[in-house]
Amino acid sequence: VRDAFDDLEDQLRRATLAQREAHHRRRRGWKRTSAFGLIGALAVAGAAVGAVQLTHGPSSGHDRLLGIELAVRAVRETAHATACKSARVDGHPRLSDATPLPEITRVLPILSRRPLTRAASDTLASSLGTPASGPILRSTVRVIGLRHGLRLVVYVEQGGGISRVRDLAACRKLRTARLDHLLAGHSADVAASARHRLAEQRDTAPGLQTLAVQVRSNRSGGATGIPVTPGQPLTRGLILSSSSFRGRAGLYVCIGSEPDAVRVTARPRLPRYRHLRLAGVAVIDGFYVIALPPHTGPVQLTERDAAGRRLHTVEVRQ
Amino acid sequence: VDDAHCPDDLHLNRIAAGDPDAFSLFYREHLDAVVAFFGQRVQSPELAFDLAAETFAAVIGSAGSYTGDGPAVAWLFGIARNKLRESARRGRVEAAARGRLGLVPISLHDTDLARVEERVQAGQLDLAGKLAALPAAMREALVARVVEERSYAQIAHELRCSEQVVRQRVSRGLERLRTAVEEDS
Repeated sequence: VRDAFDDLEDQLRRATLAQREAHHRRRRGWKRTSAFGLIGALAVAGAAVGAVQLTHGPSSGHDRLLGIELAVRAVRETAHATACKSARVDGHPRLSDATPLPEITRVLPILSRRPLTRAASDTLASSLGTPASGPILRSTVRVIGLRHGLRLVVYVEQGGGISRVRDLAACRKLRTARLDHLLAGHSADVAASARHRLAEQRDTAPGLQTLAVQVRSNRSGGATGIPVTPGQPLTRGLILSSSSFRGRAGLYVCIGSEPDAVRVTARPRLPRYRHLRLAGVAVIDGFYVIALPPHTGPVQLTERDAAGRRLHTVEVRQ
Repeated sequence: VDDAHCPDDLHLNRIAAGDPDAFSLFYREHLDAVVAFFGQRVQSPELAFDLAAETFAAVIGSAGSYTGDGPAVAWLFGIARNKLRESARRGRVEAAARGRLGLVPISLHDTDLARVEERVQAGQLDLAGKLAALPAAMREALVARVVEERSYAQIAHELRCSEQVVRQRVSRGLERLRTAVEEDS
């Protein structure tokens, strides 16, 4: 006889599956990426970033999760078709004069402002050390200097980053056909959720661009690629974290949630650590990077405007 | 390692990687104990169910952050304790973890409420029996840490030993409990 505990288990099973890609997209640990170096780091991050932005699903709850599960199955079950196999990635990035999506420049206006000179951006792009699959948008290449000898390298790439299929149109068609087959007998809400999810599949999503962010220091680095589809807002907040920054502290890279944010303060959440004063950081060109000492527990980061007013909070180490 | 005998920490790694079967095994293995934990501390079965649901949802959301520093079951009960504290502080059960996963609320019927109480009893008996079988020093440290939630420093002071010894006793006690549960099942 089924009971509430069985229903709970069913829901949580589906959620486990759906979490997989969202989890990989949100957090890339330096610990792992630094071992492979920057090139490997971006490759791993790019490949692992599935394709999901679940912000505007057409339904909620059980139907939405079931739809996502079916879309993931459609992708998995067509992965061996020739059209859907991974394309060979060129080690030398190509450059393009295309413009970034407004969804990206709205959040990061710096990417639409005066770019580096053509020669400087070409030189920088060629030193990125990333096997980009799509062309890099020349006008978006930026280097942002930070404290602790760190710098952020930011650029936008056309397409889904490292994950690229051999024949985009044919693969999209195959996946759609497979999904139609899997959807037989399911409700309209399930179908809508599944199609919505498949449309966001990173390697076949029309018009998709990838915001690439690399963190570099003298000794190591990490990277992440954030897929942005037309019409979907770019996710703000925590985009990359490391629990082993220089072997002793956590490092958190965030996109500021508010355009007016100029400074971020940090405060331990647990009463036993509240007496500790944690250094704040400035928001630079829409990003902030904060290194937290060990043994300070969960920390609340508060974005503030020039007058010190609290705008938004981000919880780390939850 | 086959699924049924896979250690908890491997289950958590697999849950973080999106394996629903690993989640089911972890859920079934610890459900009674978690429900019993809440059942002993809150009055209503609805609340115990709600807290257990939120705890397991948080497991999915944060399995990737489990570092393997301590036993997985201690990590699980750490989450459970936090959920209990949050609910006591706010006067309601936080549904953030379930919200993030897009879970829909489950309404409980009379039979479900009876199952909550059954699970509380099953978890209690199980735990009590297993605890009684542990060596006294280990049981003392485990109860002080896991049940009474005292700090390692406090326990070390009371037991006249170092914190490291207390940590070892708690860790080994939890390991033995886990083994005993596995043998039963």
